[in-house]
Amino acid sequence: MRGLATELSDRGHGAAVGVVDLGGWVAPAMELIYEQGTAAFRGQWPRIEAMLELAPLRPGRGDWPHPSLALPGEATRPARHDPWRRSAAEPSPAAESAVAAGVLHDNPAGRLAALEAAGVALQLISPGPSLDACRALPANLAAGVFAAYNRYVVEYCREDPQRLGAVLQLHGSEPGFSAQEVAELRGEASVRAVSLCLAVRIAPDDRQFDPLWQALQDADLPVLHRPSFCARVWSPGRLLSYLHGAGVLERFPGLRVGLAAGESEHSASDLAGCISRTVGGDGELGSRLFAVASSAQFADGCEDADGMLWASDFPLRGSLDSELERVRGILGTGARSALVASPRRFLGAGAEPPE
Amino acid sequence: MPSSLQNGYALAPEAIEAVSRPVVEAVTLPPECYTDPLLYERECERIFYRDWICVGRVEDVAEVGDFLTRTIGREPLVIVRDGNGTIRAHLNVCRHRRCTLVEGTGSAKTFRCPYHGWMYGLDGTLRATPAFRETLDFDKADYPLMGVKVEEWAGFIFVNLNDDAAPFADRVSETTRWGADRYRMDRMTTVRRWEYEVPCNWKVYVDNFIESYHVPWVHPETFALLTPLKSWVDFPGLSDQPWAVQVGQTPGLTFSDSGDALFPVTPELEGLPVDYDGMPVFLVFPTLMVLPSVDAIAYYVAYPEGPEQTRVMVRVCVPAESAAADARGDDPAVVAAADEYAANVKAFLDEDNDICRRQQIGLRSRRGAPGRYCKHESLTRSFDQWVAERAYGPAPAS
Repeated sequence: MRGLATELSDRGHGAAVGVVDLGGWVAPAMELIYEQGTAAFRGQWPRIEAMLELAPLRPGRGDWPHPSLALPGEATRPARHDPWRRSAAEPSPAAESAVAAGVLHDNPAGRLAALEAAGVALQLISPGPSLDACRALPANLAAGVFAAYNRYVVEYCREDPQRLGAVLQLHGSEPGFSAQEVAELRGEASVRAVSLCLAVRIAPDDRQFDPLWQALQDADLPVLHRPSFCARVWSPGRLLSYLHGAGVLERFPGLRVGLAAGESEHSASDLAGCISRTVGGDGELGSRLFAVASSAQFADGCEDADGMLWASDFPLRGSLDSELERVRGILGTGARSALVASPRRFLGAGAEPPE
Repeated sequence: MPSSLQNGYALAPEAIEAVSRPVVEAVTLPPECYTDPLLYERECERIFYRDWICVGRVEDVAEVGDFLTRTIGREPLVIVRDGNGTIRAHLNVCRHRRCTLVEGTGSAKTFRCPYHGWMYGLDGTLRATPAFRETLDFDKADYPLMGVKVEEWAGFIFVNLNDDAAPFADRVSETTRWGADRYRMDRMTTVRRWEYEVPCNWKVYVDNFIESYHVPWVHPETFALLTPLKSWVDFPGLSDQPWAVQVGQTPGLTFSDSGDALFPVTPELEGLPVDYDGMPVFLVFPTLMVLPSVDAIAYYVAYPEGPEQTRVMVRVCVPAESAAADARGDDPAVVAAADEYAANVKAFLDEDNDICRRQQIGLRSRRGAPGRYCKHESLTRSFDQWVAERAYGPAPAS
């Protein structure tokens, strides 16, 4: 069983024991995805490469120093808190300089150093817009990209699988492939969760998904729902209503779901309300549903942080240290719940050990 | 075989001295200099792997990802405009098992080896090495494409395989004394391009280009009508730098059938000293041959492919705005003018190519011996001296 990251000693950042960050990002150059592809995938590469563009550099945010290939993302998707877009709340130059070059691609050591400095025990890692844009590809091509990405991120996290958590990317139009991916990669120490690219035509209550839900339950892996990874119809509320209304959550009692607000229009309190309305008074069900929000989204008002998970958006906002301080300041006494206790439940690591 | 290989000489010192005399006293290079594989190797090592070689024009790699390939001696190169808009030159050889990466010209987002799939960025960085995780002590950063020095001058791209080479700009800084800058070659854009395989030594081609002695006999229907031999003026000693110019003094000469300019005349040529007005023949050692006229330029580059084989790249360039109209094809007069210029350049190059082929046959004769130079061959002599001293003498001091 994957153990939750070992508790870190207090490094002068306050009570930084066992903090879990659900919101680490990578934006691997497609060259690195290509590298991890199967022979069949590489045979398809010219088709994929034709759609790629040279991505603009993100200086100070862990990018490579030279342009790399990416699948262009949707430019017009509305988002209040899209961490991939530069906003008025730009990180300060000092915060940007705290991010080592290449952590978005192939520098896990630089990320680990940031975790160490901030006192974060474990960071889950998800891919940026280029992978999300794969939704537009034919399903077999997209599945090939996701499979290559999964092997890339496992390789990335191999630097320290206890502290770098891989979130596998699965394809909702290919449930069989997705279940197979879980079966193949569940033994990797870094694999902590999955995200599912949901299409319009196949709803997640379809019986084709049962082998996937079963595989996730068997592997004790939660689902991290990222709206930007899915067709627009799959808002957090709609997803929950399908999973709950069609009895998926009932039939698979080990299934846990985290609803990320990171790139969507939803604030932490929106998501908490959505969960509350779905579960009603069902405490057991409520214990399996989580809201994932960035520091800024917590600021929208979350007095009770139970069931809330924190996403730093590292390295996009600059210093991990300052983001952690920020969320602590907002949540006050609720911080321990959002940073340590709830993540343990989400990740299936059991109850928080006594201090 | 070379007559002497002692003391670092590949050619007898007397032969080098003989070509170094004033033109009316000098003796031509021995025939083996145009046929011998060992001497050819020396030329590659001492000239083509150490000097600046033109590989094309900036418009050949106009957009990010545009690339062209060239082989200098035995060195395959790829020249590309990278993601930052910088023109780069790399050895066109994968660092894994040495396969060439690309051929011809085109546009790429990456360079992917066709053999085992290693992938490089346009900047030469190694980006992907499939199935290499288990290879010990391997760091991609240690295996970028081999970089080659590259510079631009007047719209031309030059590469240099010698990492320690002095900047190209230094060796042509005095071309303004002849007025090369007035032709605004940087504002010209290629409209027609083609290549020849000519069965001759590369020096045969260059020697022929830089002398006017052959014009009445080789080009009786083309050049000779416009620029009689007596009108050609060499300018030896204009500079100590490795370039040379001679001018056929027929004012306002162009590549058109009529001699009239069919494209906008370069305004900077107004007021040019009369000595320089006409059809200049401009050689940037060793192999860039340029014919700038009042409204266009033709240029060609000789790439040796062996002691007796040369690939010649030919381009015709016109002012950028006319080139754009030609590319759009919406002005028949411009397209026709570009075709006419190219046809006329081809006409006299066909004559040159044939005479070079025939000269090479003669150079192979076992009864060969050095000849003499005419006064109209002073630039050929100085070029031959430059080659002899650089390639056949002792190694230059490092």
